[in-house]
This record gives sequence, C-alpha cells and structure tokens, in this order.
Amino acid sequence: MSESEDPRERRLVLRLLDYWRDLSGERDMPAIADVDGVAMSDMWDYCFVLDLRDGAPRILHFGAWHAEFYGKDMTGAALSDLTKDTLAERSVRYLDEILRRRVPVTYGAAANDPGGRHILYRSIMMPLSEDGTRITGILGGSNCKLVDDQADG
Amino acid sequence: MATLKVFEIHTFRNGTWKIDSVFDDRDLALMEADRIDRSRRYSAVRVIEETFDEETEKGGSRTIFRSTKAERINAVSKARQTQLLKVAAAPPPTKPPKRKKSITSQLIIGCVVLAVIAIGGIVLLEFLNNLTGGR
Repeated sequence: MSESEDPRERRLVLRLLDYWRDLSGERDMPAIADVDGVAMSDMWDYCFVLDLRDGAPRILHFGAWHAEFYGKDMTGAALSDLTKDTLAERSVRYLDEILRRRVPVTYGAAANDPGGRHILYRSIMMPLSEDGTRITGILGGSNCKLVDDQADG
Repeated sequence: MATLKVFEIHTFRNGTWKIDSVFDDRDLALMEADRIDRSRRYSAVRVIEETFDEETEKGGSRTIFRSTKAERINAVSKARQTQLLKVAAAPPPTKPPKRKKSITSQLIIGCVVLAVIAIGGIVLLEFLNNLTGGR
C-alpha cells in the first residue's frame, strides 16, 4: 500500500517512534509508567495505550482525537469492544504481530470505515514492558485523512 | 494469492545488528533509515526487505539500504570470515622431501670406505709382522 503524501501523517508515526526510542534508552522497550502524555502533548490526542497486564487487553488511554473520530471515548473499554473496521479497531488489529516481533510495527492502508467514510490511515504500535521481558502494554498512535474531501480526520 | 512484503530497519548496537522497527511501506522505511543514519544515533543502519509468497509459501530477504558505516562493518566482517575460511582451507604443512643420493656419490663413498678398510688392513698386517720380528 502506498504511503500517503500527507506530511502530517508521516510525521506522527515517525515522531512517536522517536519518542519511544528516547524512552527506551538502553532498554529493549520502555515501561507503561514511562509514557508521559504531557511530554508529547502534540501527539497525545492521536495516541492510545493498551494494558495487557491482566487478562483481556484494555484501553488505558484513548486520545481525544480518536474519541471524536470514533464517536465515543473508549478509555477503560476492552479492546474487543471496538467496532470492527473503525480506524481504532484497524489500528490495533495487528497486536499479535507486535507480541511476536517485540519491536514497533507500522501499517497503513486505504479503507472504508463503518460510517461510509473512505480513509487513508497509518498506525503504529510499540511494545512496553515493566521487566524488559514480558510485554505488558502497547503505546500506539494513528491518524488518517478522508480521501473524498481531503479533510484531515 | 499475493506476495507479502515488510521492511525491517536494523540498527547496529553494542556490536550486533538488532531489529529496530518494521514497516509495510518501502518509502517510509527508507526515509526513516536515512533519518536514523543522519542522526548518528546508532553506529549503522540497514533496511531488509522480507518477502513471503502465500502461494508457494516461500520467502526471501534482501538488503535494500545500507548506511556507509554498515557497509564498512559488513566489509570488515566479510574480510574476517574470508580470512577464517582461508586458514581452515589451507593444507597442513608438509616436510620437504629428502633428496636421494646419486649413484655416483654412493660409489665414491663406497670406494673410500673400501680404501680405508684396505689401507687399515695393510697397516695392521705390517704392524703384526713387526711384532713377530719379520719371521
């Protein structure tokens, strides 16, 4: 899938990746507690944090931009509660791949969401760990543009 | 059925290559690798294209970007490997073959030995003759 030409879209995933690398330092991955929304306030609204510590994955943070685009704040909800084919659901769809690869992975695609909007999106998910071994969380981010009217979502 | 492709960015850290991140987009991966290279955050960076054919279930990989430092690291590593292979493949040292003595020199040595024995015998007979008083 070809990457969007929108520089804002490119910047978000790469800037998030940079932030994650800074947090990691010499470690393989940072801890959930290291993630500081204030320190990345310009990106925080586009971010989500998943908690994998207990049972089914839950959403610890659902950025304000996502809440608006999704139509509801899903903070605290189970990951499985996300409506299929929404941007939020597509953004976390490859969670198993992150758990397998243990490194940041980014995907993008053109798609139709349940609201009939044609979107061009890109998302990234990056592993978090308390002990450097077991992945206990995910820092993710995504955004999109509406293809029809070229408006940023 | 399609061929799946992902692009892995590898960075050289603490003397070894590590997977840094995975991209589905070639241009984005190359852009990020170039940015990492220019930032000098890591010693070296490279991008590996991983392909997987769903129909044949066969995959492959190839390097599509290599920073200058990565090339140097690979060259040093390759040279070291070549040197090790050369050492492993070299035949064991052998002793130089002994030169055979020629027949002429063997004859000369034989003659000298016979002459020494003959002269020694004559001297011995003369000595015994003197002891017996020439009887």
